[in-house]
Amino acid sequence: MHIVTTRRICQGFFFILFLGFCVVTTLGEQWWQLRGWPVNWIIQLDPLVGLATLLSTRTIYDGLLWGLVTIVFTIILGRFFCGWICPFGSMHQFVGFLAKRKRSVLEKIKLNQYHSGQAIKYWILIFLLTVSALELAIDCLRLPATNRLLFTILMLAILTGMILSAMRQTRANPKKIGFVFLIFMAVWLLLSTLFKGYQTSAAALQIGLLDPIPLVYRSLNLVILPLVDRTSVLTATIPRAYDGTGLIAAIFLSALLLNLAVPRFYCRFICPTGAMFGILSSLALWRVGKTSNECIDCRLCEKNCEGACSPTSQIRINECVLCMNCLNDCRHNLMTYQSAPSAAGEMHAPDLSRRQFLASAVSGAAAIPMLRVSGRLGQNWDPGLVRPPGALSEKAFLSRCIKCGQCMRICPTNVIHPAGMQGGLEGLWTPVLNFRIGTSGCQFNCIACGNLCPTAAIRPISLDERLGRNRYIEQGPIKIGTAFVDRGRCLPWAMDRPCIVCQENCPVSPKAIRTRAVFATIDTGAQLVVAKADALYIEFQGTGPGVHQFATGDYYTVVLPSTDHRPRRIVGNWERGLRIADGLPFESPPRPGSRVEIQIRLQQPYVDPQHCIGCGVCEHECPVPGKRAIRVTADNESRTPEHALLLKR
Amino acid sequence: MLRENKNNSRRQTFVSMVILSILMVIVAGIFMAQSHFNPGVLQKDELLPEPNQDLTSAPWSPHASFVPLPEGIQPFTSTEIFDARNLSDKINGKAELYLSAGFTRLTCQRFKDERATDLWMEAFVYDMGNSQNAFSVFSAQRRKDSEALGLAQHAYRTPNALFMLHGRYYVEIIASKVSGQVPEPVKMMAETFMRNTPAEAAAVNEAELFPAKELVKNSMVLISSDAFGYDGFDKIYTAEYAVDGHSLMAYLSHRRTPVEAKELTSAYTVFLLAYGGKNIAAQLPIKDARCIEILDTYEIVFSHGSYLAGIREAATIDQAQTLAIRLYHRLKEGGHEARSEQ
Amino acid sequence: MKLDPNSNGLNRRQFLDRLAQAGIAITAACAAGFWFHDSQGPALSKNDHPNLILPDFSIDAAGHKMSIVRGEDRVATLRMALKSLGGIETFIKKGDRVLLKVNAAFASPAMLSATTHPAIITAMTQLCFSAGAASVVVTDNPINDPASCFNLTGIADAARSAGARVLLPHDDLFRPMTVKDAKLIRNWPVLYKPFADITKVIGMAPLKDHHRSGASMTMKNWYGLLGGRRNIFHQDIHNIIMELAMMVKPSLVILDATTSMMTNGPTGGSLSDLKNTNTMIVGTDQVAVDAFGASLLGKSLDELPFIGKAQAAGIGTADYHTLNPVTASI
Repeated sequence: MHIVTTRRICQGFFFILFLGFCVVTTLGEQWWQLRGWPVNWIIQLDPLVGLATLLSTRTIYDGLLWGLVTIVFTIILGRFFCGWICPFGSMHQFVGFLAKRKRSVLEKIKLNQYHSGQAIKYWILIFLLTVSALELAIDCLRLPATNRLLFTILMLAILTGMILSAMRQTRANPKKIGFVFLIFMAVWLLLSTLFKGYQTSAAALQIGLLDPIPLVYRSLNLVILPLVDRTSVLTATIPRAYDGTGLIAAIFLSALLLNLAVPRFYCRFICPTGAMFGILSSLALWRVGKTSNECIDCRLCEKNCEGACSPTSQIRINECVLCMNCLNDCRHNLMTYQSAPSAAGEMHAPDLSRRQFLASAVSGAAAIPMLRVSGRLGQNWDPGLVRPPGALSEKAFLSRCIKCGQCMRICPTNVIHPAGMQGGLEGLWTPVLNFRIGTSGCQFNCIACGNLCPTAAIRPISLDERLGRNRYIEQGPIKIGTAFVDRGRCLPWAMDRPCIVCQENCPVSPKAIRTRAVFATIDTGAQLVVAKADALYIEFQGTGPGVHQFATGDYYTVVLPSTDHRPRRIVGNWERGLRIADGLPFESPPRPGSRVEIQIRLQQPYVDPQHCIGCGVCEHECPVPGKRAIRVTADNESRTPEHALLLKR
Repeated sequence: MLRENKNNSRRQTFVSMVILSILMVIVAGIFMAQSHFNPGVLQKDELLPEPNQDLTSAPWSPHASFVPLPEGIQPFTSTEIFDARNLSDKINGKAELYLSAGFTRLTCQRFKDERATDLWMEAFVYDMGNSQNAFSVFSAQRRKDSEALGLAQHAYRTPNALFMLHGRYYVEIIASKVSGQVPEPVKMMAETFMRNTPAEAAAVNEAELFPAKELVKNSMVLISSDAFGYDGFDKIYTAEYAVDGHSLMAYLSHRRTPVEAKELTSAYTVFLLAYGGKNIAAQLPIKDARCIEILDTYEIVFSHGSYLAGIREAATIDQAQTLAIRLYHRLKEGGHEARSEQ
Repeated sequence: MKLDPNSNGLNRRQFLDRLAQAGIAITAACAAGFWFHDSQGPALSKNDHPNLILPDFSIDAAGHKMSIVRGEDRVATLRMALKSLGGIETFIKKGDRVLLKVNAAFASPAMLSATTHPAIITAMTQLCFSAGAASVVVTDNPINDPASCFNLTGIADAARSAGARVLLPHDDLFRPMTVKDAKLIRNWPVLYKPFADITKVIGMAPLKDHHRSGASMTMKNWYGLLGGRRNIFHQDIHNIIMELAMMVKPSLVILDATTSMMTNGPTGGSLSDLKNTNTMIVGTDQVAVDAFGASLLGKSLDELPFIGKAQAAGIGTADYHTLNPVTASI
């Protein structure tokens, strides 16, 4: 059995596993629903997610420890993840295979030549990791100010180290070493006073933009599966829709189509996870290489080389994705997978100059502070940024969210959507609630998103915590925002039409939307005057309104002038008269010539911010079709005490 | 070379087998993992707004007041209890009617008739705090096409429902449709409720004080506040009379002290006069009775002891006077013992 | 297929080297993994700040005292009031580091009396230094832009001319504080850092009408120590004033009622809002001082619930007569 066949099986296995995981990510107990399927497993296997969140949060959350398994095996075997597991890599390989199928051997070899541009992925990796590590780095820089003891110990350790290494060298210059040490200490002390722990430099996480696993999860969850839903195959209870997926689709599609030009374009040039594996694989114990140098340089081994790692000459270990194609393509049986270095020599280090490294690191360190100058984490926060229940406070949230779209996929009512610019460029594709799409608001007894989030950007809360029951009775239910009535758009407020759909649909008890009844006199077009009347009937002089126009139950009548201003409900009317309800007859029939006023009973909604949890059911149900007349903003959200609307008592 | 090739391919096969068995282990692991449900999934049942009511074997226990249930009637949902804060969750806008009349608690439960699949009924037991409040809500919504029932002093039924006053409880049992199967079980449930629920007899003594002659049956109403558009009038019992094809109304109300009754009488007189009423001199054997013509109808107001009483909307002065005198006599005879029963 | 035996040996050495490297790398990765592993996920953000408390700045020896001096010259009345309480030396000792909490809430001219008058800031600073104070700091967290407030009110110049340091509030100076037994000031940012290394605190407030609370006097003056979105406290103004008085135990409070804002407080804006009440009140009991201030505004204590609340909380007495206030006039 050829190892290449096994590789294909393995790739197919993980690709199907990935597809299956995406499809089953809907809430339910059927075998094709979430149950307990480890749908995050492939995300967790991606060690870049683990590493980047480790840098930004200084913890490795739960299942992200699986990344360690990948790291350990990469150190032993090389970049097996890219060639054997990565579902995005498998897609690229397949599209690339289709594209070059008809090409000549020579052309194929040419396509698989190493390109110096393949170093770009290391730049990207360094950029993304410095984004995550900025806070950590600044905290280290501030050590002299925050933890003098630790700083002193570190300094002493460094000094001892320098002295020891100087003693081992024969031509050491103690003066020079002392000088270097002093400069080093002075710079550190200076920097420690310069930096402050501001929000602008707080931890951030942007690996989700380009890390292939979150990218492919996001693309499948938000673009491909909703497309499939529109065929006769339905992957969810109702077809899914997501806001602002254009860019996500464009990136996904371009990444796939670029394989037509260069096979595995994304893996070779862009992929930061691949870059990370590339760096780790320089430690690999086993690697692909030639057994001897008796090679005629036919370069057939490069015909199907996925990594463009030039196995013919000095093999670039960091670029080799262990596709194993060269093993069988070599007619001379020179290629093998062995513990010894290739007979033709190896190149271990990524093709990365110090200048490039520094440029990437510095721009990574500067990127987030530059974005955050906008103050979006402070006073300039966007109230439209309603996060799912259990989401951490914005700063902590942004240090964890990898934009994988799992919460958006699992949400049973389809209200979680990828953010556009509500959270700024930094918050692109992070989950935000949009109550205009979906089947309802955020269900107040659902805790699915937090229990699925692979990085705990949305905490795994219990139903008790969500509803503020039992242990959580004191802190009350989790609020994700507050509904506000737009009195200029609300039917009972602005247009004399009865409605109260929002009040009826408010799911919390006691209801967070209350109504107050008012009677508003409406313009009937013509003056209605009593011709004759008894306790229940009024007949008009001339013709009045259309038949049964006022028989909806919402209309009332008052006859003026009268001592009795109580509105009486109209139960029926015809062109020349009306009848009122039995319950409250006229104590004395209106006298001819009296004016008849038609009033409408309106129940005007009010939001009680103490009880409103911001679930958005009201916004979803509001009959005003465009911009809703009741809308939820993130004011009073539990996750940010600074956004409190009311005093707690 | 050939041997080496063979060697190589054997090695590849071996490694392949190892890898494939690892994949098997992964599959096994995943299948094992999926039986540990994600905590997010376990809430699925609660995601539904209401439990699916098609379940046939719902083990709900019936509300104690209705035990034993008539044959074939089974609980359909659990008992729900509402207080003043959340009453509107159940009956929405109608809550105002109950709240203004001193509502304290609503207990309700749905029942199902096993013999008819689409027939179910819901029992509402409103605890109104006292019998007067209960009578107020009972009388305020007395239905038109109703048929009086003998099982209680104040009970009637409509084609699909039963309404009853029992002590401080106002009870409604409403069926899902009009059917011949409805009246019997509903009535039996009401009787069971009365047996199970101790209640001071509905102390609507005012009922006995209205003269029986020419009284329109079941026309008595208790108006809690703002009776006849006058905001000083609260807890007014009214009853309708039909005399010679004309209808007129008698009313009375027990005040705390005779002085209060007297003062309220004159205050209402002032109110009537202010809105266009005219004083009419009339000889009545009632002390301090006032007769007023307003909007072509006649009103008489008087007080006796701590009772305030009166006649409204009489078409002629004679009819008003006759009824007023009858009412006055009833008050003189029965006023004291009726009150002392309480 | 010939292999150099030497190179084979070399390969083995290299492999062992690499094995060691890989071993170290794997061990390090695993160690880091287990060290940083967090199976619970982040907890709900709890109040994990140390419970900061403002020290008690009151002077036991001084006791509860109060002096009411009438006169048009606010510097003269201030000096006389202090003298009647035993002189500035009673309150400020040699080497004391003094903080003057002024009211610089608005960027309006001193003439409008919406803020503490610069003249008494100069005078008070000079008095402190004359009693041997090592340093004097003037601070407030104003409502309008801090720099403009301190400059346009003349407070900055007045303080600096007498040698005091003006401390403008910025984020680093605030710390979340929880006042014991308080319901409102819980984990709330307070202008805390200026109080570090301070030994005496003097509150200096103008007497003003205040739409929301009824009056802005010495207790309401501490509102300027709150940071964050403090306007939320306007939902419960009397309790927040009471809690602020619980939080700050000053050495001395000065209520300048030389020109009082009788209407349209706390901003005023017109001279017609002002009245020359020609009184300077100095005391160690902020409740008593405010209670007397209320009488100048023509308000009863019923209209100013915060005074009764503060008395009930044991901060001071609303019945200022029991302190036997020294009264004098110039």
